[in-house]
Amino acid sequence: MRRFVRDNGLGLFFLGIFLVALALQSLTGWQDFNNSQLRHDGESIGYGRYLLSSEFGVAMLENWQSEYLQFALYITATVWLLQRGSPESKELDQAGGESDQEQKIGRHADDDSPLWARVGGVRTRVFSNSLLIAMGTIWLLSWLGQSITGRVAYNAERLEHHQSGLDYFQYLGSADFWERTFQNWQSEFLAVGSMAVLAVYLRQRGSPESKPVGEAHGHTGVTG
Amino acid sequence: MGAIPRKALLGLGIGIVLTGCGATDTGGAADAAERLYAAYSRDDGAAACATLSDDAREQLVEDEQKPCAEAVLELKLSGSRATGEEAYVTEAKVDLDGGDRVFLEETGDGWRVTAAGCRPVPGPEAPYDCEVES
Repeated sequence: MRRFVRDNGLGLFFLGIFLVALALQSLTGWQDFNNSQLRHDGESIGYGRYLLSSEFGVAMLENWQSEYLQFALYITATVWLLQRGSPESKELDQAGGESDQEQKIGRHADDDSPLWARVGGVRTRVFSNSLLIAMGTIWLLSWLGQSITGRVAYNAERLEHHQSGLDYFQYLGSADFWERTFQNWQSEFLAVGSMAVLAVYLRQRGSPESKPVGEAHGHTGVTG
Repeated sequence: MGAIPRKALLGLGIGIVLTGCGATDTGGAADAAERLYAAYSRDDGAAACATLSDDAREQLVEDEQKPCAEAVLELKLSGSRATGEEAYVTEAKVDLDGGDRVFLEETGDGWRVTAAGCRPVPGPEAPYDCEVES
């Protein structure tokens, strides 16, 4: 058990704080929703109903989609784009998908390489892009969820002001949908871009996201 | 920049299940709207007022300077049966066969009318023009 925790500490830690943060978001969001209801003589709703509401759904999913977009873009961009001196970048002559030998594919695979890396054909092509496929799929599903729940939450607001509701495609063209989307995207792009550049000049001792403390600023693709 | 797709997928599954539950149970919204129009048709002002939200009732009394049960019968309402209904979270809109639209909100006592006798106004963002509204 202790060994399992040690071997999976990073994943377990983030799963734990994710669940705590999600629970706290739901509790504070529920309270905020009911405060808003009380201000205009509306009904307070129970916690369970709030958890199933689009108010909670859109607040959660608009952040999920932007996080997964960030990772999907970062995975893709770092195949081709370089950043001199950054541990987030490959070495400057390594741009692109690299050779089968470098990627240990097909006959270049090791004995313990995953089966789908060894077999070739469609399975190897799929496995070669499986991380991007997974992150991209989660991004698209989260964004779809944001659009569905966002429409319901936005229409509730419109009906409260005695306006007609929007159908799904009208909502996809609305400022509300795109403002929710872009406000999350811009913050992710800023964070990931600044990480790639700041890591050229700054260090965190012991972190694989950083170069070794004494590594020269100009050395690229080195992690510590 | 670590992430755990499998665990994230599990969480996403829960999220997607939640997204399907966005719209609310509308049940009584159309009933409440029909009750208002039925009471209005039989000149039962007290019953009509009982379907209004507190804010709508107060606004009607303030606008007409009469007790609610009298003022509500002087409105120009048209319709009897609900022909369409949409509800989101705790808000609803009901379309009536006479062309009127009715807006309602869910309260601790069930659905209450916040606006009635409403007709569309040109312009995508324009609120409906209503005979009574909170």
